[in-house]
Amino acid sequence: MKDILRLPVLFLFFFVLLFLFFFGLSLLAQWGSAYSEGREIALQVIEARMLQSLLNVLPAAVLVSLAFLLARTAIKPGSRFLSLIIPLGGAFVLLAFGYQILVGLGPLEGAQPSVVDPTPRRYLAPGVFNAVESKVLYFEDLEERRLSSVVVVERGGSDQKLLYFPQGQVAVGDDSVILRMAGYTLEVDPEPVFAGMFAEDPVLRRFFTDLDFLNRELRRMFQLSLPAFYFAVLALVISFYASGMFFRLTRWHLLNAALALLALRGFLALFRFMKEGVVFELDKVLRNPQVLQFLPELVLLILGGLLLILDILFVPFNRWEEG
Amino acid sequence: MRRQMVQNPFSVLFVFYLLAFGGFFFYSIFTFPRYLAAFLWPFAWTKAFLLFMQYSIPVTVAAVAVAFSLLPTAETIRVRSSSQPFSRLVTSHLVTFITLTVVYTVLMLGFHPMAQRNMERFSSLTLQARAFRNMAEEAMEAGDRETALLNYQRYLAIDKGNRSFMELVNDMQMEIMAEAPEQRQAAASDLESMRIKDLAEGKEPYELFEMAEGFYEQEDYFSAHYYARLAFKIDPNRRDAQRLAARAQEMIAGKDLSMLEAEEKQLFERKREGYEYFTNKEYFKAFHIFRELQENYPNDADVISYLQKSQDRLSKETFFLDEAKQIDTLPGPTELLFINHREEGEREIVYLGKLAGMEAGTFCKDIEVMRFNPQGLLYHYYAEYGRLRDGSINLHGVDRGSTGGQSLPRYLSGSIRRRAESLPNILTLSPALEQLPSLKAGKVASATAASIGLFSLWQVRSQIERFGYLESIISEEILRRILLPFSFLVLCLLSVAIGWRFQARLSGRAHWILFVFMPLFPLVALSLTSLYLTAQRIILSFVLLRLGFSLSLVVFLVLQGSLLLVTMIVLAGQRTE
Repeated sequence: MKDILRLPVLFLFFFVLLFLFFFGLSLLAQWGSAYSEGREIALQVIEARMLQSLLNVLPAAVLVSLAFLLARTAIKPGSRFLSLIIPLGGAFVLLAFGYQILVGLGPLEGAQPSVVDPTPRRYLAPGVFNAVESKVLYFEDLEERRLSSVVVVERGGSDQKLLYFPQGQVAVGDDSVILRMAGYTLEVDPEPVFAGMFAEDPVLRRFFTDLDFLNRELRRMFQLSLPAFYFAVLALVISFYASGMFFRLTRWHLLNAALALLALRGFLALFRFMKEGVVFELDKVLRNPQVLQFLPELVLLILGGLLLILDILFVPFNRWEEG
Repeated sequence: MRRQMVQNPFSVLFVFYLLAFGGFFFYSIFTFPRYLAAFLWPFAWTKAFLLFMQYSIPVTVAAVAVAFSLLPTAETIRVRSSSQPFSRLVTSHLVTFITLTVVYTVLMLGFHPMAQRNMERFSSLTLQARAFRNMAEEAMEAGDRETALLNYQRYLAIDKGNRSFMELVNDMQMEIMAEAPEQRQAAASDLESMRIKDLAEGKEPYELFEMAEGFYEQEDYFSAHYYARLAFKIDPNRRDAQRLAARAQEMIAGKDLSMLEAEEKQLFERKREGYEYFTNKEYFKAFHIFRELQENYPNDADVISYLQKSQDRLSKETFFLDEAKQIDTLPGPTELLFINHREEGEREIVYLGKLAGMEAGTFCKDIEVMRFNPQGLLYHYYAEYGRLRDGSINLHGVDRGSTGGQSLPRYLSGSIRRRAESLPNILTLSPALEQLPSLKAGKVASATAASIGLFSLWQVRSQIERFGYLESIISEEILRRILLPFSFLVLCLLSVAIGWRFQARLSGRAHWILFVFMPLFPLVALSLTSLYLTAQRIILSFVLLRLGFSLSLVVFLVLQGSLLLVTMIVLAGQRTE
């Protein structure tokens, strides 16, 4: 019965640590993305995006804490019933109600105009070479949106590499930065000057894309209705909890851990694939696509439920104490 | 197998390394891009090495964790070594891990940039070879076979083993020679007739005298006179040589003395002309006159002396285009871009298409220079080739073969201003030669910087802002690189603890089916190690931007020390029971 106390405390401990760690990293990355505009602006950006960052890291922190707790219960199994109820309930409460509390603290980003609109200096630095896709851009000064003494460096096979323009204009849009010089227009993706220093490893790009998608989907469900949001959270929590089965699958515990981590990662990928792949395609075929809006969550729930039943029926709970 | 593991869990590591390198090698073969076929095997080895280094941390982590998770259980260890702490069991392995880390550091910081440069070399040389081939084909279509041959030869200088092109070049050479044999022979015989053969070299006076007698008998009185005089000059006691020279002189006088006089006069006139060019600092013209004279009078002391002098002076003010053109077939850093001067409100931006060193010097090609101030563009010019010497690029190339051929900057704008400068064909550079490879077009600390060694980055870091690059980006690249060996050691030790904690509780031998899952471990390790490295990079980048490079180094060392300490504690905390 020690589990009644031990499991929630452990879960909270993991959660607080991870939540703070992820939140800290997220803030540092935000700060870095706006640093080229000046320290003041960078701090304002952090302040403006704090709530959004908290919301973004919450699901990741809850789900990773859940995975840690599952690993812990696999290594040191206690009561099976409590090991089912406490992680599941705890994860649901933290994610569902934590999300609601955070949303209650202020409006979500997008619901109001951004407090700190990016200026061209976020994406272009004067007096240095700016790599803009396949070209390189140099300009002497930037005042408001006016560039002075602009040099575009054409790379590759062009005969004349350096092009000079006495002046230029820059406009920052949602999806692009547009540079207009006399008879020459350059449209590039908005990538902050110091973004490369804070960017994730290319290996993790898909993982972060999946996490972003998860956040967007949770927000969409939250805005749709509270029951829909609870349903999505439940599906996520159950599927992630069910992945814990893999921690006890074989007598080789390292293999179990690897399988469990892959299963957790697989659920994230499946969630996005269902929405962006399957639902998107079915959308074109079905007459009433509204029925599809819960399909990804439903699939996660069914898969999670199946794994849970398999776990209860066939996988020994105290595998780590065997042998 | 498990008993062997006890003795040496590094056998698992070795197998993982072997399989990983093999996999990367085959992957490299199958992903060989459209480079020249001659580069296939060098590419495969180099790419396999680069991939191996890129993924060596996750592979090592996975292998170590697997090895220690497959170690026999506590009972077996107790039989062998009685009950003892886990830390003592792995102490001997720690030394191996540290050695491995040293090897990894050497490979990552030393050999990895070299391999990266090799990869860039394959790419740039393939592009260059294809450009030569296209030029050759275009010249062939235009009927200009000499240009085609030249470009095919330049292509072959890169793709040396290409038999089809070798045969093509041989055929072309034969055809060109066969087409105009008379002209060539005539030109050769003209040259021979003009040249006084230097048969005297290394001969003794008596041999020279014998030669003179031979020429006298053949009624070649000029040669007889020359060799007889030479023999007398070397040995003044040889009166016979003096007499033979006199007889030959008489015979010449009796025939047509004006021929010798005319030749000597012509020689004197040409020497005087060359000397005048030399004193007027027209070294290029002087060089050509003395070179032409040297062909005809190889032993003339004046000609030898002034040819050497004019060549020396010429090489300081110009360079030979044939030497510079060798850069096309040589590997070297490409697309260099930097701000050259930042003074008096003016900026000068320099673009170098390629830079390469060779025996004849350091050359660059596709040089484009632009200078402007707030009022507008001052000048903009392009030079095809240049020679880098003493911190300046000489933009005046001359064709060694003809007096007319030369390469000068082509002005795209502002030629009057530039030409008014004291040395219009000299481009003085702010960056030093060793800094130049670091100034790659716009992306100094990204993938393109992978070919630059750590020490080069370190050297250029403090001055890089002068050349138009953000210092913090290159500092971050330095921190990223030195983070890798520390992470290698920390993660290796951590994976020992994880492997031991997640040990297999197998009742007998491990079932073979378990080994099917082996590829999963590096996959999982890849994500986890990437997360570890990304988190550290974000923290260090923040510290770098906020506190600067020196303090970020201190924070870096403290962070790595702390992580190592925590890892050692975790490692020491493992139990054998």
